[in-house]
Parts: sequence; structure tokens; C-alpha cells
Amino acid sequence: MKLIERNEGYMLTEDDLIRYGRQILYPSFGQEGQEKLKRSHVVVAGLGGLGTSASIYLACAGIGHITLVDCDRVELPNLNRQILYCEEDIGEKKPFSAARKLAKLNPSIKITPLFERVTEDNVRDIIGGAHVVIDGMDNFETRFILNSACVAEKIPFIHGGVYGLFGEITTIIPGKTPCLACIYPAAPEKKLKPLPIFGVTPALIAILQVTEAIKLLAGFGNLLTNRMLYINGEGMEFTIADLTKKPECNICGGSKLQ
Amino acid sequence: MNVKIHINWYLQRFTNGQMVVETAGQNVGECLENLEVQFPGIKEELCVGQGELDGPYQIYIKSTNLYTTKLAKPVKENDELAIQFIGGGG
Repeated sequence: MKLIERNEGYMLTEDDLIRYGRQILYPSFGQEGQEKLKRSHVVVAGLGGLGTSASIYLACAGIGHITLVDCDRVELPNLNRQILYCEEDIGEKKPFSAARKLAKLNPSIKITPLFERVTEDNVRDIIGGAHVVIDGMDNFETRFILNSACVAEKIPFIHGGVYGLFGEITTIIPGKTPCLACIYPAAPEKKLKPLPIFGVTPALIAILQVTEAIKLLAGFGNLLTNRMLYINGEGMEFTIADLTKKPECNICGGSKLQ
Repeated sequence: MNVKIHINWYLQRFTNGQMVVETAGQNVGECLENLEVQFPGIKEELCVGQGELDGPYQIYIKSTNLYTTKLAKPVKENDELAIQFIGGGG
């Protein structure tokens, strides 16, 4: 995991102190925490229900650089949950539509929109230099590509997934926690399509993903590592299960390397 | 071995709405076989492949994930298992 170092060029401005004043008041965060967010680079991979909600709160929190990557254009069925888009955006490339809204929300941060499909060939270029990658993908094939690259680059990967009113989240720290390939030895999506979804489910998971990102980047609190939080919105049950490394994971080396 | 299985909300349509069911077996795979006898159709929904789940479910024993030893993992008397549903969308 890359350490976020102090850099005078990223000192907070007077506007920053006003804009972020209410979160700076939080005792274990403070100005130092805000400066760390300002120096941070977060990649949001996928700009659907998870990614749009996550990117709003990342921008509001003052993450200094946000990369937005998706290969789709806005469609009408997206609008029940992908809350950065409006009807007038239909047909537009998602990363550019999202970046335009986020720039209005917080003009003081850098936003890099990438209209690309994440592949094994380009993934390291996309996530290189990032401090955190937020999983906003809608399929496990691409999640596994991101997971492998995050393990190789030692970048924390905050996994989230949703279905209907169900969701799950865990924070993966390469070298310290099980990776996604440990947790899901096979892509578990045979029965997931067509995928029903309410807007509130990805919003809930995304907000937890950003909570994890803020704590991780600013260096306070306890992370949801080595644990999976399952959310059942229909039964309103929240369950945490312990995760362990797969002994011979071919991506992270599993527990045999520890 | 007698065990309790906590059934995810999504699977409770097979268990007549029961959130916790009791079954028996020497290992997780046997418990699922007996669960199928009690609640026909649940094994197919769980996508039990060759010694492991290959569908959108995870099984935990006492809140710890099973995947390292797959379905051959032995169970103890009064173990509690939980079946969780994985949401793969974004």
C-alpha cells in the first residue's frame, strides 16, 4: 500500500477549510486527514449504481484526484439508480457525463474521465499511481482483472456487489487480507441475470465503500478487512462473516506466502 | 452430526420461510444432500458442482468462510452454518 506523504503543494486553502470544515471537526480526522484526502488519487472502476454514488461522496469529501472509468453510454434503464445522470444525458459517455456533474459539485478537485473497457492490457495504466480502487463493476470477469492488478500494484481494492435489495462489501489490502480470488474461487454469477436492482442498494453499499476509502486514506478507524458485510435490505439483516485466505491462491499467493 | 443452517432470505422460499433449519451430516456436502431431501430444489439453486458451490452463494461455518476446504469440510455436533447470497451487480 502506498503511503501518502506530506507535500506543501497540497496544503489546504482557506476555501478548503470552509468547504470541509464540518468533517475537519471530526477529532480523529482533522486538517491532517483532509490534507491526506487532497493528496489522494482514487479510481472508480465502473460508473453504474455503485460508481456514481461513490464518486459523488468521494468528490464531496475532497479526494484530490478521481479517475472515472466506464465503457458504456447513459441509457434510460440506468436512471433508477445511477444518480449522476439525467434524461438529457441519455446517449452520452458515462465518464464524461459524470465528470461534468462532479466538477460542478466540487471544482477544486481533479477528475479524469476514461471511456474505456477495463482489460488485462490496460488495467495497470488505469489504476497505476492510485491509492485506492473502488469496485463499481457489474461483472466478476472485470472484477477479477482489477483484483489481480491491485494485488500486483499493491493498491487497496474496496469490493462491493449488489442484487435487488442484497449487497456485500469488503476491503482488500494486498498482502494483508484475502484477495477477491481467495473469496470467490469461481465467478459466482450464473444465476444473476437479468439482474433486479433498486437504487437504494448500490447507494448504501457505495457509501460504505467511500467510508472505507476515507478511513484508509486518512489513516484512522477500523477497516472492514478480513470480513465480509452482507446486507439484506428485504429482511433488514446485516451480517458480518470472517474471511480467510485461500491457501494456494494463484493471484495473491494466499496464506502459504504469509 | 446435527447442525443448524441459517438460510439466506433469498433461499427461504425453499424452506417455507424458515430462517434456521436443522439437518445432519458428517461434512458440509452431506448436510446439503440432507437439506435437499428436506427441501427439494434447494441444492440445484445452490449450484453444487463437483465438491464446491459454483453459484452465487457462500457457505460459512461459525461465521468463517468455507472455501478453503470446499464441501468436504467436516462439521461438528451443533455447528452452525450460514448460506449467504452474493450480489454481483454494480
